This record gives sequence, structure tokens and C-alpha cells, in this order.
Amino acid sequence: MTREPQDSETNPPVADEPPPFLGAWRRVYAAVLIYLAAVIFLFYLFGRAFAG
Amino acid sequence: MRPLDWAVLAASLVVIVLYGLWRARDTGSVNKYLLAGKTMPWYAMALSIMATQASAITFISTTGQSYIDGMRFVQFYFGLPLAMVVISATAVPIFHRANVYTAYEYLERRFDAKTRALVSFIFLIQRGLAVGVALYAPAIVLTVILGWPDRATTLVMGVLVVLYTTLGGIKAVTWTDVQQMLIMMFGLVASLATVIWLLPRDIGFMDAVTLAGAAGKLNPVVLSFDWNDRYNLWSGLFGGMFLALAYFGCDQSQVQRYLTGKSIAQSRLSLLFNAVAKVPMQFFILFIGAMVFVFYTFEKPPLLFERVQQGRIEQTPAYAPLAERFDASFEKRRQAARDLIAARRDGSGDQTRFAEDYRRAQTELEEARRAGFRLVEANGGQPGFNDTNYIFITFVTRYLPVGLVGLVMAAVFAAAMSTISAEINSLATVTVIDIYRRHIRKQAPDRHYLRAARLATVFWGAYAIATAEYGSRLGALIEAVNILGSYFYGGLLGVFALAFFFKQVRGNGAFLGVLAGEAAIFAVARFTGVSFLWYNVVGCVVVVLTALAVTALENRHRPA
Repeated sequence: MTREPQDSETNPPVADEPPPFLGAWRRVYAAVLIYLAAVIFLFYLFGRAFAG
Repeated sequence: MRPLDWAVLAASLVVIVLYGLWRARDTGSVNKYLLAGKTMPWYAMALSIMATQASAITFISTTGQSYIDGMRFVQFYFGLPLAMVVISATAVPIFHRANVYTAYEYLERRFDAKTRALVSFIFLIQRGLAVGVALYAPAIVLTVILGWPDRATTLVMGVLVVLYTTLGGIKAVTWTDVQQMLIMMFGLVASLATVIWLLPRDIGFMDAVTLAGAAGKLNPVVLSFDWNDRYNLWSGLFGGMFLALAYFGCDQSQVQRYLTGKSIAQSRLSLLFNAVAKVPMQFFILFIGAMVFVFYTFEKPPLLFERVQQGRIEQTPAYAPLAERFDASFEKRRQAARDLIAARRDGSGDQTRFAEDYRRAQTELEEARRAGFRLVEANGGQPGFNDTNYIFITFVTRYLPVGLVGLVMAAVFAAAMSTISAEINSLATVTVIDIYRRHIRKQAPDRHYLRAARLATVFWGAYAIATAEYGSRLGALIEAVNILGSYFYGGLLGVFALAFFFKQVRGNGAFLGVLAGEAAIFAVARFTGVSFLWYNVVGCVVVVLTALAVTALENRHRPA
């Protein structure tokens, strides 16, 4: 065999699967963004609570 | 370090390497060597992505940064979850379905061979510049702290990394990353527990948090906007997002981690885990730095944490009055801190006054330290000298219990090795797949490319060690090399944005767009004071606009 390896031959076709929670990837992404907003808000409150 | 610390350090390194090699027994094909046969579970990829990003300098300087500048550096990571969502929704399924080894391989399918070659070349320059620094930068710190020659540190780290990366490929890199990340986390948790435990008996945890806050160290969100300020909410969200998009979406050292996933879902989960975990983790690391600051409110710190330079300036006549000034400021700050805590407990109205005294003493102490930096510069030290990278490691080696010091040192080595192994592995992959297989030897058996990949890994490892060996001669150039490396992401990000979102753009537009984007970044860096976080935004926008303009011109001159 002297030809360039073709990756599609060595890897099985890739299927898109649903996420293991929340049912759809869009909902998972939304959850991550809400989580980020909550974390930033908590950090803000933390900074304000202990500002000198 | 005492014998037990050395034993813990040595055992940790040996276990990491052996475990990685054991997990990577089967690497008999290019696919298995470079992509782990696409079998990796999400949690291994997730920790590998995290470990790759956390270099040794990140690990030791982040805590120091918080000590000096407070926790506002955490905002740098606010854009990361946004980027992870975008990459999960776009790049991950595209790369997986394209069945590629490298992100740049996809660019040829989407555009043409010259765009792929240009972007691969940019990556090799950027990562090639970074890999030696990634090895040398922690070696400088460890040399000062441990008293080793820097050559010994770079050799130990470099040889171990080359060994398991060459033999085990990406599987070894990923599984050692998992180990390394766990050691890093354990080292950090142990450090925080120790610093709180070492506080004076009458200073509780809430007292320590109050003192850190009063000194302005607890400032994780800065709402004011300033183009020239690196760390505020807006530069973190927007600039940070573009930087993270470029790093995780276009840099092969990260893309290759999630290309090894069993499925699109597993790769997405690995990125989203980072989206959720990274910001709190950075907050935690910075919080350790704030607590180390409080610890040194009661325990007198050295004027300079870099002991070689401290020793040097002690010999100068200007040192004695400076040390006196520093000691007086320290005592004033300690007393003000005690007064503030007592007033807080009593609930008396003097809290504001004592907080003012505390901050004033802190300012005086910082001025004395800055005078120390100037003294270093005046006595042959590097211009712009500071000791931020030495603060945390000095604390660790002086105050942590025996055994734990070795563990934290193992964590520093782990942080360095995880970054370097990923860089060497990705450099070798791009060299073989995008350059050698594409342009030099197009038709050869799989085992030939496997051998080429191993040789390329050894080459880049040897290159990293050699560059690090010359690191001492680079001096201040290291900083320049680091900054230069950050100039290339805007171009990379722009070309992938074109590939994913602008279907009408073809090869010429993409190629010229990248060149124009890079030129724009260099011009902004050279002629303006805009913070580096915005370079990626500028580069990306210029790439897209240029490519659209070239495409419009091409369409106008195309025969009907």
C-alpha cells in the first residue's frame, strides 16, 4: 500500500447525539450562558460585600 | 526542600509518566498515535484541555498576580464559556464530520492548499516560539527557588515530556494531562487550606476575607470600561471571548484534544465542562493569592520575593534605609489590620478610619517594594523587573509542611509538562499532516507517517529543550516572544470565521484576508496603546472585511 492514508477509512462515520441531560444542545448552551451570568453576578456581589 | 519533598516530587513525576505510557500501549497507526483512534471519553478530554491551558507560569503567577493586583484577573476568563458554546455549536461538528487530523486540513477542503499552508505556517511559528518559553519560564523560577541550575530543570522536564509524548502519542499526552490536572488541583486545595491554617490564631477566615477586601484584593468584577485596561468586565467578555475562540477553536494544541473524542457529544461535553469549571477554578486560584496576601500582613515578607536579586541589593548602600522604611510600613499595616478587625468585631464606628490607615500603610509598603525594584534595575537587573512569579512559590517553600512542598512542586512541574507535551504533540501533527504528507511525501504507507510523527515529536522536543537552553541569553526577549505569539490568533480566528460563516468566500479572499488581518494586528500593536486582548477582535474583523472585499472584486471580474 503506497497511497496517502484516508481518515474517513480509519474512523467510523460520526453521528450527532443528543446531550445526556436537558434533551437538546440548545438548552445545554442556554444553561451554560445563564450559569455564566449567575457566576458573574455572584462575583460582583462578593466584591461589593467586602469592598473596603 | 527536604528529602521527603524530593521523594514526593520524584514519585509523582515517575507515576505520571508510567501511567501515561501504560494507558497508551496501543499506538500502532497514525490514527491511534495522533487521534487516539477517536476513543477518548469526555472527562479525559476535559481535564486535558484544562491542563494544557494551565501552564506552569499560569499556575505560579496567577496567585502572585492576585497578591499584587487583586482578583480582577478572573475577568480575563469571562469570555471563555461564551467561546466554548460557539465552538461546541460550530467547530466541533464540522471538524468531526470532516474527519481531519488538524484544523488546518479542513481549510484546504473549504478553501485551497495555499490557505492551509499559510495558516499551518503561522501556527508553527506561533507555537514554535511558545514551546521553548513554556519550558524555560518555569525553569527560571524553580532555579531561583530550588537553587538548581536552570539546565537541570529544563532537561528533567523536557526529557520526560519527550519520552512519553514520543512513545505514547496523544493518548499518553491526554492521560498524563488527567493525572497532572488532578495533582494541580490537589496542590492548590492543600495550599489554600495551609495558608488559612497558618493565619494567627485570633484571625478567623472571615477576618482574612475582610482584610483582603479592605486592601482592594477582592475585586473580581470591574464595571468601568477602558480600552487600555486589560481586566474589566467588558474586555473580559468580548476580548476574552475572541481570545478563547481563537485558542480553543483554531489552535491545534487544543483542537487536537477534542478531535480524539468518541463522538461529537463527547467532544462538546469536554468543552462545556471547561465552560462551567474554568471561571470558578481561576477564582479559586486567585483567592489563594488574596489569602497569601493576608498571611503576609501578619508574617513579615521579604522586600523582594526573588531571593537572588534580594541578595544582590542587600549589598548596596541604598538598601538599609529602604529596608527600614519597608519594616516600618509593615508594622504600621499589621497594627492597622489588627485595629480594623477589632473594630469590626466590636461593631464600632472606627472601622472606616482603621480601613483608611490599613490602605495607607499598604500603599507605603508597595512604594517601598517599587523602590526595591528600581534598586534592582539600577544594579544590573532587567528593566521592568518585578517578583510576581516568585510570591506563591516562596510561600510554598518557606511555610508549607514537609511532603506538601514536594507535592506543590510536582504540581508546578505537572503544569509545565502538560502544556509542553500538548504543544510538541500538535507541532509534530501539523508538521507531518499539513506539511510532510501534503507537500513532501504524498504517497507512503501508514507506518511511514507513524515513524515520521514520532521523529517530528522528538525534533520539536529537542527544539524546545535547545530553545530553553538558550533562554538565559534571551533575557527580556522572552517577554517579547510571548507578546509576539499573541499577534497571530486574530488571523487564525478570522480565517475559521470565514470558513464557517461566509460560504461565498473562496481561497484567494481567505488567503489575502489572513495577510491583511496580521498586518492590521502588527500595526495596532506598534502604533496604538490598545490592550492585547483586543488584537484578536481587530485581526478577525480585518480578515473578514478583506476577504469579503476580495470576493466581491472576484465576482465582478468573473465572466458571466
